[in-house]
Amino acid sequence: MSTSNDIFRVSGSFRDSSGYVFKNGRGEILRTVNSSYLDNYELFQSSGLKDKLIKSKLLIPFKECTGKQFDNSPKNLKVEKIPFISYPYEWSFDQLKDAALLTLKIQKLALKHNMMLKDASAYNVQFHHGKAIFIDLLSFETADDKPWPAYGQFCFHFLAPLALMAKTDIDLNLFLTQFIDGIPLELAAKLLPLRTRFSPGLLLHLFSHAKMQSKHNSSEKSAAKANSSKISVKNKILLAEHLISIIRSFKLHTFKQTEWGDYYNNTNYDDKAFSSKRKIIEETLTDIKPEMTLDIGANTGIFSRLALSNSKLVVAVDIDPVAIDKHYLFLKKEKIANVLPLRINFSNPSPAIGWDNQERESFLSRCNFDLVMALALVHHLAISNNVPLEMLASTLAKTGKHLIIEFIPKEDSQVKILLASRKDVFPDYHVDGFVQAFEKYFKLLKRAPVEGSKRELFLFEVIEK
Amino acid sequence: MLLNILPVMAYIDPGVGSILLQALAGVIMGVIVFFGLIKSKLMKFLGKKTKNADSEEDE
Repeated sequence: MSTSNDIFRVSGSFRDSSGYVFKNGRGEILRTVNSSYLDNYELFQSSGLKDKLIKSKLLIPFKECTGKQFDNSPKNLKVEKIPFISYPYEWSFDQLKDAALLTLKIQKLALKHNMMLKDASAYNVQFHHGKAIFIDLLSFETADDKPWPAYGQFCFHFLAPLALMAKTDIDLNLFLTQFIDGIPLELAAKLLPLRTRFSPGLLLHLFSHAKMQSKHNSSEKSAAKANSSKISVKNKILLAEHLISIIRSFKLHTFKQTEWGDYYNNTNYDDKAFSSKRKIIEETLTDIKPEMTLDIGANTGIFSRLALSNSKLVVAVDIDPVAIDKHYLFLKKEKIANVLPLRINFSNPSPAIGWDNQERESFLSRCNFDLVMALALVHHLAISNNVPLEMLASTLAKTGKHLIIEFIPKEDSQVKILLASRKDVFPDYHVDGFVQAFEKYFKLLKRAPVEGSKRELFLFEVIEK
Repeated sequence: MLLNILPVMAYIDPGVGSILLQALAGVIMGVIVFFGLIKSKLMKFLGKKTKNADSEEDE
C-alpha cells in the first residue's frame, strides 16, 4: 500500500477543480473526486451511464479506492493505465477523426442519460488497445436544458484541425503544438479554401461560428442573452449528430503523395536483403523479448509488426503523416491492438508545452522502452540533418535499454543519393566511426551484415550511469 | 457581473458566441429534421409502391 509521500500530482492536471490525476510510487494512476463534483459523479454512476460507457469500451475502466482517501477528497479512483501517452499533434488524420467521433458518440450517449460532456478537449482521448478511448472520468455533468458548454472547444480541438487537414494541408494539425486550447476558428477560416464556404456544415459550425465569436464574445448584452439560452436535450443530440455527419465526411484526398508515403515500393532492398534483415530482427526480438518497443522511422510498420508477438506495445513513429495514417488504417482493418502509430519527426520531436512547459510532456521524456529499433534511419539523421553520430547515440541512449540500429554506409545507393547534390562534409561517417560514437553510450552485443546489401545491423545495450 | 451566471461546472469558457450559435443551430437543425422527416415518409411511401411492383414481376 503506497503512502501519501509516494503520490504526486501529474503536472498536466490542474485546470479542472472537479478532481486531479495523481501517480503513485508503483506508477498506478489515481484520480481524486472533489466535493464540488460529487453530485455529478453520483449521477454518472446511478444513471447507468458509467457502466454503459465502460461496457462499450468507450471509457477507460476504473475502480473506487477503499480505505483512507488522500488529498482531502471524498473519493479516490484507481484508473487503468495507458502504457504510452500521446497527444493530438502526434496523431494522424484518421486518429484525430476517430477521437472526434468518439467524443461525439459519448456526448450522444450521455445526453440519453440526461448528462453531457462539460469539456470536449482532444486531451480527453487516448489510444489504448488500438482504439480511441475517453479518459476524463469527471467530464460529465447534468444536461437539462443548458447549452452545451463544450461546443466551442470541440470546434477548436477537432473540427478546425480536421477541416484544415482534409481541405488545406495534412500537416496543419501541427498547429496544435502552438495552440494548446485548439486552433482558433478565425485562423482556420482564413486558411481554408474558398470552396469550403459552400459546405453547409462548415459554413455553420466554423465560418459563422468564427464570426459569432468575434462579434459577441466581449459583449455584456450578448452574454446576458446567452445566459438565458435554453437548448433542449433533443436539440443537443441533433447538434452532436450533425457534427458527426460533418466529421465523417472529412477524408484525405486519395493519399496525397508525400516523401515517404510510398517508401516500401521505392526502396533499394531486393528480396534477399529484405529477408536477411527480417531474419536478424526476428532473432533479436526472440532473444530480448521486449515488453515495450519503439520503432523510429517505422513508415507503414512492416518491421514494427515483427515485434508484436513479444511486445505489450509497439510505438511506431515516422515523420510522414501519410505513412502513419496508412499504418493506422491497416491496423484498424486487421484489428491489431498493440501497435500505436504516431507522427514524430525524430530530429524535432514533440516538445514539452503548456503551462510552465510541463502540461504536456515532451516525446523524449515519455520514452522508456525495452527496445528501440532505428532501421534505415541513421543516414537521414546524420547526413540529411547533419546530426553528429555521437549526438545521435546520446539521444538514442535516452529512449530505451536496447537498440537495434542499421548502419548504411556511403557506398549504399540511398546515401549516394543524399550526397549527390552536396559536398561530403562527413569524414567520420563510416562503420568504424559509427561504432566508436555509439560505444560511448552503449555496449555492443551483436553485429550482423544484411546479406545482399552493404548495410549492417547492430544490437546495443545502453550503459547504465 | 453578468458574465458569471454560467453553470458552476463549466470550468472552460463556453464562449458567448458559441452559445448563441448553438441556439441558432438548434432552430436550423429542427427545420432540416422536419423536412427530412417529410422526405423520408414520402420516400417510404414511394418505396412501398416500388417494392410491390417488383415482387409482382418476380412472380
